Amino acid sequence: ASRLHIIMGVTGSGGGASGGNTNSSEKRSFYARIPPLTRSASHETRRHLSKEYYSETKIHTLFDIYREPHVPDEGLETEDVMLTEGIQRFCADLDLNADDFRVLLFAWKCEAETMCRFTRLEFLQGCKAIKADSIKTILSKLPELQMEAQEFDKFKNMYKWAFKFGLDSEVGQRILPSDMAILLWKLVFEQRKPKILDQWLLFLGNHPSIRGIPRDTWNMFLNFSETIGDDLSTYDDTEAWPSLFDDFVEYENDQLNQNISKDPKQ
Amino acid sequence: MKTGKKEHQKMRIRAFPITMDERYVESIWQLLKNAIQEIQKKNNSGLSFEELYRNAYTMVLHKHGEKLYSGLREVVTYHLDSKVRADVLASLNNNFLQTLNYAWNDHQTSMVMIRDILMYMDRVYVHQNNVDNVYNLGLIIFRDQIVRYGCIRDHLRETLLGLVMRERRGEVVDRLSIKNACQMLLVLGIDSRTVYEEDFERPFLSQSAEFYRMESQKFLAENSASVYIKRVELRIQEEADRAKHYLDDSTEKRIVEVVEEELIKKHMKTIVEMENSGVVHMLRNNRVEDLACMYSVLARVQDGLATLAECVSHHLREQGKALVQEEEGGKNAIAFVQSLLELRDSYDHFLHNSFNNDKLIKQMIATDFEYFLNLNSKSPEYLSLFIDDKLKKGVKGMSEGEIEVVLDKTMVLFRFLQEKDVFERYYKQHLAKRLLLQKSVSEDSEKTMISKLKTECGCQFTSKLEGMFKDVSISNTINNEFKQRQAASGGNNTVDIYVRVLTSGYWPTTLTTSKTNIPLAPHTAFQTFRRFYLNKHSGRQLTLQPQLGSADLNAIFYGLRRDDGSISLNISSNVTNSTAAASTSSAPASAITPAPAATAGVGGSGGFDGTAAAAPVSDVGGGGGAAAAVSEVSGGGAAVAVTGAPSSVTSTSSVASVALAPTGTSSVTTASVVGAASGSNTGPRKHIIQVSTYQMVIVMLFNTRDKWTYEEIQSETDIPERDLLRAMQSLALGKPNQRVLLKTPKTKDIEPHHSFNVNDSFTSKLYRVKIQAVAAKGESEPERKETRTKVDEDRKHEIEAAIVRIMKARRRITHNNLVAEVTDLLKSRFVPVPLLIKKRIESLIEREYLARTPEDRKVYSYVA
Repeated sequence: ASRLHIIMGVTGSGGGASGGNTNSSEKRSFYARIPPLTRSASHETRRHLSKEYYSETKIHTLFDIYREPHVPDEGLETEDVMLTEGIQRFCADLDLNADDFRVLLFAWKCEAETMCRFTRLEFLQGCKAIKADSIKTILSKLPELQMEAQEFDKFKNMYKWAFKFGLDSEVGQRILPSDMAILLWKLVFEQRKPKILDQWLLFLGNHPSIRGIPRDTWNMFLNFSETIGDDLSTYDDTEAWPSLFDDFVEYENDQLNQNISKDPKQ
Repeated sequence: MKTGKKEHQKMRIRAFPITMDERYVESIWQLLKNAIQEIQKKNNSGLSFEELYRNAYTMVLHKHGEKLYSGLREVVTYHLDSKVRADVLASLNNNFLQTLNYAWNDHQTSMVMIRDILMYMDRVYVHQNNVDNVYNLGLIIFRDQIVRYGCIRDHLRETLLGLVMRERRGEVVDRLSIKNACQMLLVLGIDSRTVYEEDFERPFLSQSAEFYRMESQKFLAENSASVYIKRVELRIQEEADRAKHYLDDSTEKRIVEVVEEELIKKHMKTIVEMENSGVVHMLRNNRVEDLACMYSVLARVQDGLATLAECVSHHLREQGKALVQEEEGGKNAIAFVQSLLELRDSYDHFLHNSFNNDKLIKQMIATDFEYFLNLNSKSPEYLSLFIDDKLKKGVKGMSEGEIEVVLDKTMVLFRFLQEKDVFERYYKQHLAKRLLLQKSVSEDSEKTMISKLKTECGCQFTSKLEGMFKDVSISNTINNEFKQRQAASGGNNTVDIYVRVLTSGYWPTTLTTSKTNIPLAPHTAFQTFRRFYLNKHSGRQLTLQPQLGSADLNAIFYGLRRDDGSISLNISSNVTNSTAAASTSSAPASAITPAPAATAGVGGSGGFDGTAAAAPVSDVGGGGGAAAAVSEVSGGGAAVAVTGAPSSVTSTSSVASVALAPTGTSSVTTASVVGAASGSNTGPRKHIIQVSTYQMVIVMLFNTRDKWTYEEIQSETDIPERDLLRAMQSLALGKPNQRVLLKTPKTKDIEPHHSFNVNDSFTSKLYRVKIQAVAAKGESEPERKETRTKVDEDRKHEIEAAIVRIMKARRRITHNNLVAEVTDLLKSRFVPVPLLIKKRIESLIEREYLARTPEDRKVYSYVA
């Protein structure tokens, strides 16, 4: 059993390091054949394979693979974090793009403070939350996460968290820049895309003068998209909607009216 | 015993029961019948009432009431049938009404007598059998047999209606017979009006309606509105009189209603809107009486006043819109407000004299004024300029009382203003100028105006304005003290300076004053003052506000005798002298002399001698002093500094500006010195030129060189572009007798490379020349935009403050209520757009003063 652990560790990280994304399915099928051998081997292995088991040590080990290397020259203690480069390797090992929805879900479970940065604590918390301690187990838990994010309450929680996640904390952002907001909205709504989303993102894209998305507007967009569906005629600007929605609806109505007035001429 | 007693008490003598036989009854009846017929024939003199009564009594007593009653009916019917009706019918075409009336009177008389002899039947038989009494029976028979008999009924109606018609056409008719006929019809109704109504009133009303329908058509086609309404009034009067005189009283109301319906209600829109004579025409031509007539006529019908008001309102709005419409190149503010006041006066006049102070119309006029006054976004500025004009010194020949009247009227317009905050901003600017340049016609008038504003908008609105007055009086004290100190210390001051210390926030000062290069002399004078002031009030900060100051300069012009090119030493020396004189003149000071004097020599043609002290505000009243504007910034916030408390608020520094001005004594000195100077020169003309601080800075440049380009002036003085341009305009492009500088080329616009030199041939009848500012009326467009931006910025704060105040009180409130309350709270200052409020709410949420409640996103809670 102990031997198997090593193999798994090595292949897990090694595969990622070699950048062999193509043979991931092969690996999976390989592992699929292994368990029967070990399952009967000992009580301990059974525990390991069952979904409830994870080892904090292994999570730490896993984190260490990706964490920002200590640079001795600087003389300063580097932060105990995983940064862009590490996260990219981590994603590659998961055989996922860094902007994959599932990565976002994982980050959500970590309650990550900000993009492109996992602290050890966050990473530990995320892995513990999904009860995984290796690339393989993380991968195997992702479908569950996707399922979980279907639940509205969980989704809402994730949606709200995503705003903070998107802010650049280094420069003390309080408002999400439009381009970032657009990307984030696309990603967040991967599994439950509101009908109005495309129009909304197009509107944002066409109006570079919009200074950004404040938290309230971000949060309210979820309510807005659900209340309004795709029928903007029901929108009431005397309600407590953020004014950006007023602008959006006005813009859309103008577009619509232009189309109508153009038609008869043609 | 008991029963016996009772019987005894109730004992009555009863007639002996005689059974009467038929024949006896018949004979009695015949007797009575004869008597009745005799009565009808008016032969009643031979009849015995007693006998007849007894016989009738007997018949009724012996249960023959029935026979008597039906017999009576027959006899009366027969009489009317055979005799009376024939007479009436015979008279159909001749004296019909008289004949009928005659018959009616006869019938009434005979029926009274018949009733009397048959009185016992009325009492017993009629009572027991519940039938019509004798008299009424007679009425009923008369009604059915005569009045309502076929052709008589029709003829009666036609005759009456015909008579009324003839009278309407102006003929004289026998009113009495109509009256009698109507009375008859009324009596015939017994206890109701039905007969009168059915046989006369209804046809009368419908015929009248028809008549007036036709008449209105004809009249409208032929007449103007004013003639028409007069006619209507007349007709209504006529009909009312008619009803009163010879119809039933109750008909008056009905016939008047009919006339109103036909003549007014159906045509009110047409009358009101009639071209060239309708309400608009009347308003245009000030036809007060016609309008009063129109009002009283239309007030009679439902919706009449609304129709009138609508038309008046429409016209008023047209007029108002035309008045407030912005013309190319802006409007004259005074004329703008004056025209509105006149409009207001004329409508007030109509309201009082034509419209009976009608509430509806009064309200409507107010709404309309509010509507179009606010169409022009410059209204607040114009209104303030107008008041400025009235409160400013000048040859207007108005007494304080008259001014007060005008101001009261202006306040009415002010009430209609929605953007009172914009007004406040302009008022402050204009008031500041009046106070600093001492242009107010009287302090009393100023204070009354402030109190009017206070009454209208509350003390918050005027607190800063009042602060301005306070600053002025405090400045007076400080300057007196300063002067005493100067005198005591040996008069080291070069320029007579008068400084007004303005608390920042009260005054329309700017914190971002550019570092205008003030010439040395006035600058030194200011520094002296600064030291003096800061010594008294440490921790404050003084900043010069050159845009608010003015100066008096001594200048000498050498005339055209010399060519520009030839600058003689002679002149320069002259100049030097004069300069020296000037400097002294400007103040009992010697320090100034070196600077301007030395430089003046260079300018071949005329030099400005130095002068005066530059201070933000110069006192015009003084002699040749100069003024410089100074504003003061106290390190720890103005208010704090003033109260003497240690400043805790550090970021907000307050600005005070300071005005310098020469005093009376200095002017005396000046004059004498100038006189001396002039004596040493032949030809040169000396003047005291009153200019703004900026202009002083510019003009004094010409003491060092005789030609400057605009660019050079700009870089030398550091005066802000806009102020410089304006100053240059009035110096070089103003009225010919105020043109101190000459511009090359001689175009209207000023370009950077254009050059300027002193106008040697400057002449003026006046010794003291005031350089008028160019374009004093109103702001320029960019300034206006700037003001607008400032106002918008202020509004953001005001809205946020209002939101926070409401939230503090309410803790939780729905979005819509919050918007409504904010609007309400601010409506005395301006009308905030909901979107604006929404944006402020958003901003407050962002800054975490507010939060949406988790339960309901439309409800906000206050985050303390």
